[in-house]
Amino acid sequence: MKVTPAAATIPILLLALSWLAFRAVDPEAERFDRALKALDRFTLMEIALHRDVLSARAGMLRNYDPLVRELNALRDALGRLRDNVSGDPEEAAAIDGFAAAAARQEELTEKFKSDNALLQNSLAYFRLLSAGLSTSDGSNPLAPGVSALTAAMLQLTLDTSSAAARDVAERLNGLASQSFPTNGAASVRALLAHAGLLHDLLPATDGVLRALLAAPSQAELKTLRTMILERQAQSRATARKFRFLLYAASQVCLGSSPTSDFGCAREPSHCGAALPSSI
Amino acid sequence: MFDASGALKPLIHSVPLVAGCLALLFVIAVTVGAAPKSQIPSSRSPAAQEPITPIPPAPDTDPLKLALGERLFADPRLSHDGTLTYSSCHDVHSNGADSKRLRTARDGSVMTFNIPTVFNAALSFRLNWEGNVRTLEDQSESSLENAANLATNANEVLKKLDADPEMVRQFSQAYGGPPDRTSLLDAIATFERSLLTPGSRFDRWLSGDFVALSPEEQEGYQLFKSLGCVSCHQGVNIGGNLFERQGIFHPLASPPPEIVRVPSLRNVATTPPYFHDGSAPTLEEAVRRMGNAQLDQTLSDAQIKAIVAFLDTLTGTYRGAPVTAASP
Repeated sequence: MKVTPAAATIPILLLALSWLAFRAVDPEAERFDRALKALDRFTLMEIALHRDVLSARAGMLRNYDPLVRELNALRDALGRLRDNVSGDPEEAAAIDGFAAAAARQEELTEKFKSDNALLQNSLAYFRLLSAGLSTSDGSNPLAPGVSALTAAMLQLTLDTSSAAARDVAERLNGLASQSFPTNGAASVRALLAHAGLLHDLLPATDGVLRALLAAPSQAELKTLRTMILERQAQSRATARKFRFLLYAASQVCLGSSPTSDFGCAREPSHCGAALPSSI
Repeated sequence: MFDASGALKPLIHSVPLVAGCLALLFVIAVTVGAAPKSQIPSSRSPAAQEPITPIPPAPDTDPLKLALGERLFADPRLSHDGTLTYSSCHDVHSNGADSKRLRTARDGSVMTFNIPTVFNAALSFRLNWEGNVRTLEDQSESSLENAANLATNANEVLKKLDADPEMVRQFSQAYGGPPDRTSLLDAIATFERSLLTPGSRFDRWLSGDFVALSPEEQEGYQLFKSLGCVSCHQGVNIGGNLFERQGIFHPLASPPPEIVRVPSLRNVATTPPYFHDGSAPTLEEAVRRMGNAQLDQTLSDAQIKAIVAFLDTLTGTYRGAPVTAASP
């Protein structure tokens, strides 16, 4: 059986059209969608984490399990993101930067949890001890000093500036320099110990909170999202180009057939089969 | 003229739709009614307001993987010389740990840390006293490779398991292939995730059973909160979800490590001795020393008694039986 040159070109044409069809469907589309979904999930969890650390600081959230769940969800989203990157070094570097920022966020959250637990504990103690020592019946000579310290501490819980901390330190020193009554010495020493801790912890904890809420991961996240969106747009543009090429090749295929006015009329399966329904 | 049949047509046509909606409502009502109520704390139960939440039911698990994990947990082939198993240190028939202050390592040295219980370990955010392990799989492998513990490795164990046709069959049934590192560690972790101890009297109280705690135990819980213990010991595992410095005001136990993962207080009455160095033989002493070191408080005997009474209510059940202390 003799194979004509025209027949010999059919497999080549089929291969070429198949390749064009494959490139035209944007094979990277799902990867980009999954990566963006992981970024969205990360953003949502980060918002929830920030809400919960603020609630915990205010004493409205009294257990840390939600923070643990949110940190786990952030790690999970980061893992999904890593699963959906290409081998592109620029993309990998952006994710590494993002992961480092997320790790820093986790570290700050752990620091916050530890500090806040002590803070809430010492605040409760300070309230109990100061209430017991600041009786107004004149029997306790330390009562004015305790009241002054309590007022300064109240201010420090609202405003952790260095001026407010200095004011607490002065009241603390003033109280510590007084002689303690024999029967209440242990309470005064405990009050001073917890007040000293609060003096350090209140500004430190708010500093951790500020660092956490400043969220360096947001900048990294924005960079990464922009990069993925740009790559997605490039991938879509390439797919559009290949769809056009596929369309043009199909037209050429139809027009160049010598056997029919409609090109593929005699062997419709050769050309028609390669045309994707999406065109 | 008024055409009655025409006016009724839309109504007649809508009968199947209405019937469908009613059927759907019925299904929803039955489904909601059948939901396990114990898992949903009502707004009137204390769980809705308290910083501690009840232990959830164990997760649904493939029974084949669970059975395999349980078998591996007690299999001496998972140690280099075939003398130790995971259950040698973590006896799930008692308290999920042992009763020793500190175990002796294979080389005769004394281990650094007291053995923590494996019960409810799955509810902690990190594992070990130092909190340096994140997952049960990593913990299982770490124990396998620790020279002081099982002193082996996954490859050595897999060779032994591959030589046992029954074990290969169990792995094939559970994981669709012969034993490998991933399935080995997954099976053990799957079993460990099932080691939850719900049903403590305190959890029943949290879920709305107000007579589950005596007045003294409730007073102990109030003290536990007002004295500040709850700042660290909160959440579903009553701890186990944060790191904290030990010895804040006064020394507590052996100095290192300075930072520990706050231990869970679930089943605490059954897990003496206490602290990472096992230096507190009784719960009373542990509470007294914690008050001094962490809170700068000298607790009275009455306060200690009330707090211990509360801690006694945290003992849950495993497979329907109460968790008990390990034999000396």
